[in-house]
Amino acid sequence: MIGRLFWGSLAVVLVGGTACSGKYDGASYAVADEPRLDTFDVVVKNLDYSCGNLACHGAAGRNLLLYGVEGRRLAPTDVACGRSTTPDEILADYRSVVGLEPEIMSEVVASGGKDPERLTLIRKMNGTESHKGGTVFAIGSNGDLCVRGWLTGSDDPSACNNAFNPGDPFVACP
Amino acid sequence: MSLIGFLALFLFVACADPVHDAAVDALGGEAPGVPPGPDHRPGQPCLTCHGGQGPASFEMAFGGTVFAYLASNQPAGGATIHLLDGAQHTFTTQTNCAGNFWVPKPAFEPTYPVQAAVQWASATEVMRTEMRLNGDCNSCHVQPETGASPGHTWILAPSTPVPEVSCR
Repeated sequence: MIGRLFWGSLAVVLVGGTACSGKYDGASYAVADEPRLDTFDVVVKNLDYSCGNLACHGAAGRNLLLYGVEGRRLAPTDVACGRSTTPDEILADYRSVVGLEPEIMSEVVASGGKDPERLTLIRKMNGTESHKGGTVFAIGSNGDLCVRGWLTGSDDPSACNNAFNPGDPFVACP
Repeated sequence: MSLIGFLALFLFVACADPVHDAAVDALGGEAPGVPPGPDHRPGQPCLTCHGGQGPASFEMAFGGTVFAYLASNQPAGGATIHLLDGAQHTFTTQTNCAGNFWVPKPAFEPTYPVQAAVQWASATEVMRTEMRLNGDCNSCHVQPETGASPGHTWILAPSTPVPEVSCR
């Protein structure tokens, strides 16, 4: 009995010690093939509205942290639901999205957006991987086509523009 | 330590949720003269205690408080809350005289996302974003208005007079 208790306690100490081990000290990674920043503004409208509210990816502590008028603001002088999303917030959102899995993002972009399901972002938003927010953009929806199109380098903003139109009389978003 | 003692300690540690406990503690005590009940703690995040983890036994699907103005704590009693979920189901409830409203858990278990609007006499305010995680309105609607909060839920522009609406 004492032996079991000893080994059990030792296991707890080892697991605890490993869980609290130090910071990452490996090599940094530069994204070789970045998705387009110049077309991200129409993409980010959808991400901010559907993902970035204050309870979700606008909440502090998220790996994917988004800023914008629909949620958390970047500048200390801005308020939630205040002025429109700023260029600095678009850039911060871009960095959040690209920096989530930079190596895979680079591979997806280099392949012309092929197999974007390699990205956790796509799997989460499609609901094909466990996601507290559920399915945000179902496969084939305008929101889904918007993000996938952005990864291919597309110039066509129609899916993004159509996605950001809830089309419900209940919603009166400016 | 006996095996029973060790197991008791293990179960205690395993079952405790220090984050939830800290959130409950952070709410502080009741306001003087307002006992626990429908009128208590206006503006505080209802689901911290009423979200299923306790300590309150009454579980809510939605809960919040509506104030008349952004810049004051005057309650909007008798306002109507409209909820519309992702499956196009609707639910309507009213604020009490403290401005508090709630939806009991069994009464409406929505398919997220949920949209919300508040109506008070002729004034209507539609929430511009969707709720996607839970119905704890006051967890985001925190005073003051900052980059991480739109302020508490309010409905009237500063110069608009308070309507005469009955409440309970």
